Amino acid sequence: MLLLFVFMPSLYLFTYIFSRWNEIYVTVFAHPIIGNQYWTEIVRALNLSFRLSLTTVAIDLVIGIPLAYLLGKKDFPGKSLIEDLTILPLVIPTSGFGFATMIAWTASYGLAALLGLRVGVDTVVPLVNIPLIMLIVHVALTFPYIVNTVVGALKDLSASFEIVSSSLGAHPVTTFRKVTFPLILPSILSGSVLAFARSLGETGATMIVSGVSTTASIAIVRWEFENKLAPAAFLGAILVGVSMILIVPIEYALGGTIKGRRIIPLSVESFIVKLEKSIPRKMSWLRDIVSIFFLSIIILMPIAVLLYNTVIYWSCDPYTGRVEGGILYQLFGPSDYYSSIVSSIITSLLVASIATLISALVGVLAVLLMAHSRFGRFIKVLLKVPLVVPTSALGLSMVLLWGPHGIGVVDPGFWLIVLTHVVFSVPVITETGMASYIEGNLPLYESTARTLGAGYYDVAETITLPLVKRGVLAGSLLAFTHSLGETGATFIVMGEHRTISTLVVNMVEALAIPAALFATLILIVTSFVLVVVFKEIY
Amino acid sequence: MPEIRVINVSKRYGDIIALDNVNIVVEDREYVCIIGPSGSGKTTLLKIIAGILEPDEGDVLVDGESVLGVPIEERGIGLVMQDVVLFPHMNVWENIVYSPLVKGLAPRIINDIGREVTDYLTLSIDKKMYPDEISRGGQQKVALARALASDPKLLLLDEPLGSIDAETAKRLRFELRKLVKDLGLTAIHITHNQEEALSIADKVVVMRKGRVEQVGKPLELYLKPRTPFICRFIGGEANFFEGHVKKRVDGHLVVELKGKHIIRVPKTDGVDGRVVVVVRPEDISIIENPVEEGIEGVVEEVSFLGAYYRIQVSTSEGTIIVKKSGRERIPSRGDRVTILFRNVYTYRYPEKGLVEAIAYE
Ligand SMILES: Nc1ncnc2c1ncn2[C@@H]1O[C@H](COP(=O)(O)OP(=O)(O)OP(=O)(O)O)[C@@H](O)[C@H]1O
Ligand SMILES: [Mg+2]
Repeated sequence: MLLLFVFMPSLYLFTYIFSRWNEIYVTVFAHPIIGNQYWTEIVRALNLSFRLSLTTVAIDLVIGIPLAYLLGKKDFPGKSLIEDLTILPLVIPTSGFGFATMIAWTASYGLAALLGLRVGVDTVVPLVNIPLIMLIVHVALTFPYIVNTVVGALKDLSASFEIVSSSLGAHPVTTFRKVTFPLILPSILSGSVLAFARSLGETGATMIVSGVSTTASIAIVRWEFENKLAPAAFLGAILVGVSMILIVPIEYALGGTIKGRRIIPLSVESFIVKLEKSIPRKMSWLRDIVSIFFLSIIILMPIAVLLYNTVIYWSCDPYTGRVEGGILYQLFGPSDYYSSIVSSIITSLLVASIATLISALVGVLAVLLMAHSRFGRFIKVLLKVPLVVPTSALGLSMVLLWGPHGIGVVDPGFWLIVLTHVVFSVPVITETGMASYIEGNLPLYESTARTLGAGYYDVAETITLPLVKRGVLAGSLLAFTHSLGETGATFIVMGEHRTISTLVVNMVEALAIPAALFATLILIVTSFVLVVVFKEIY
Repeated sequence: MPEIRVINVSKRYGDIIALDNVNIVVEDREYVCIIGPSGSGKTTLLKIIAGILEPDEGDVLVDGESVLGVPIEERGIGLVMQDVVLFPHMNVWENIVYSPLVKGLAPRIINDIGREVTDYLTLSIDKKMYPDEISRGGQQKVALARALASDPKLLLLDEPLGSIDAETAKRLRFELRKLVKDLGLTAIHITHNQEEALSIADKVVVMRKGRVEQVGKPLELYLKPRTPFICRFIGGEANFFEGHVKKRVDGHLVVELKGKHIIRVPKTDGVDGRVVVVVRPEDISIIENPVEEGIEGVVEEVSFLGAYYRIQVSTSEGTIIVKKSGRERIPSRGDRVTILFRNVYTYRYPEKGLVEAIAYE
């Protein structure tokens, strides 16, 4: 089951490519008319994607680690609000968030305008040559992966390490560099891999803010729409391959302490230490302020601007005064976005509910399997794959596998969306399920139950399941929100159906800005509610 | 060369009072052990002295000057904690020279210090090994070496031998004391183990429920326990009796115990009316014939505990425990015997009852 529905789709692209290698080779590299035009485009898209993802992760780290320090080590009023803000990007439908960010930066009263800068979707960051808004959106959507893993690691790390280091005379900065950082490095790495993979695969928000630039995942969606399957599949396979090469070794290697060799010579070391000693101790507040400042700019501001815009666009376009440019008109006027919004919300909710339900069932079985089978660790690593595979590539794989070109059992449409969402929901659920399995010290209880004479199924039923229930529940909720917000894969597999997040992209492309404002607002409010529920459970 | 004064220190965690107006003086070069039941506030006190926690009230003076607000790294302490000992990502050598390194000393000096402390402690462990590759005893020794390499004036040890097997712990405890004395350090050592404390400390602080119950030299605590709790906590098991003072006779009190036996006890200041009488098992004689002031009973159980016999005698004053060396005559189960107290401690009956007064928490 797991193999068929979860792993196969992620890997099917490779099979597809190998089985039609000649055809694909000709199309991509030696097209009779356009020559290797596709290959050039693939290289260009990959180039942009990698630059974008690497830069994103770098900025994520710079913002994420100090923020994680703040959240993991200190208590202060308003902390839970900041925690909410760092979970929000994980649950927010990315297309909506991309839209909010775009408005916030390009609007005539946005931050950029206040600073006297002219920012548009085509404004490019010098040096790395990446569209600015795209970068901002990617950072906002991926930095929580770093923050969450690092906060977790900091909380697990015994405070004694830092205390002992201080008692031995180390300056706080030295303590961080020599003790804390190396000890949380494994988590930083796995957070970075997740963030990188997310950024590489991000489609929903990127489509909205992309302007003329094309990232790899957008290229896949475009080509699929134009029915150019060969280059799409080829590019998809490259993305899947890269993600797997990244995740599998790192996941396998992690889980221990990284025992480092001294690389820096002693004399340099003592120079660095002296430098660190000269840093005033009380600088930490500066770090805290800066990280909160970043958070408000990349997350709070877009939401605030969105709210403001919704209000001023409510009845009419505030600049021209035309009623046709207002939200009410677009919703209920001739274009009748109201009914498409309602129907797409219903579709979204149905998809999310069904997919989550199926995934929870599969997920529970997978947790039992991982806990009790000899291949547990292997399965665990394999389950990470769908988490990091770019969703547009996953969507493509699903269409090719199940759709008319492949087995031909499920056509693009509602059920293929459900099936696709199951693929990336199962790992989310097993992840939290496994976490509560390990944290709850379940192996101990299980073996105790065994010594009391309980059989395998008794143990599963009376001990394992009740105790992982909470983890599975929390994972399901997370999967539900993912499903609501997913854009990249959904775009490819949706056929005639629309989910709310894909609808937002359509609206923006159709320049129905007021309607998009309204839909986005609904999405963001929903995510907020889900964040609160999520925190209640976890 | 520090002298530490803890003055009126209190610390609360929410509703829990971890420390309640604690006063302690640690002289320069003194080896002080703090003992007390779990949760009595020992670690909290140590953390306050180390600067890891700030007290809610009170002050900590080192050589007469308050150290509140002085960051840990500037206090010149050597800290050895029970839970996490070594940095797991550094090998033994890197752990040991950590302090000179982070203080920015010159490379040559760093190596010299490392060699000096390893020689001093005769560390035979391979310096390239990682902490998870060596035994607990070895780890604890490395932790000590690392603390010594920071050239501390004050050693703070929180159950440093707690997780080491009894044999090794016994050997290490004397090494610890010798080292502190040789280097002229001041040491504050927390332990659960009263034998450990009594055998190496110059001075022992007994804590209970966030308060200092008694401070004294080891023998003093044994010979002159100030409260029933100290009787129970120092020296092992003790027998507790309730009674009341019948009359005072030149230098003695005549006490009637609950079971109506009359005994004479030495007069103690402030003791009158209802009293608690405590007798250590080793301060009891067993004789075969009834005598005046003796308590008759039947031997219930006799067990040999290696160094001595533990004899349980059932009497009308309750079960009484007696300790006898194996060389003495040992009665057997069912024998009728008479018990005679050779030495007793008498206390005024505690306000909240005897059970509360000797409870650990
Ligand atoms: N961080 C904390 N938060 C809340 N309560 C605490 C905290 N640390 C200690 N306590 C409480 O303060 C009291 C004293 O704790 P402390 O650790 O000082 O005891 P201890 O004497 O060291 O005990 P043990 O012998 O078990 O180590 C205990 O009741 C403990 O539960
Ligand atoms: Mg303690």
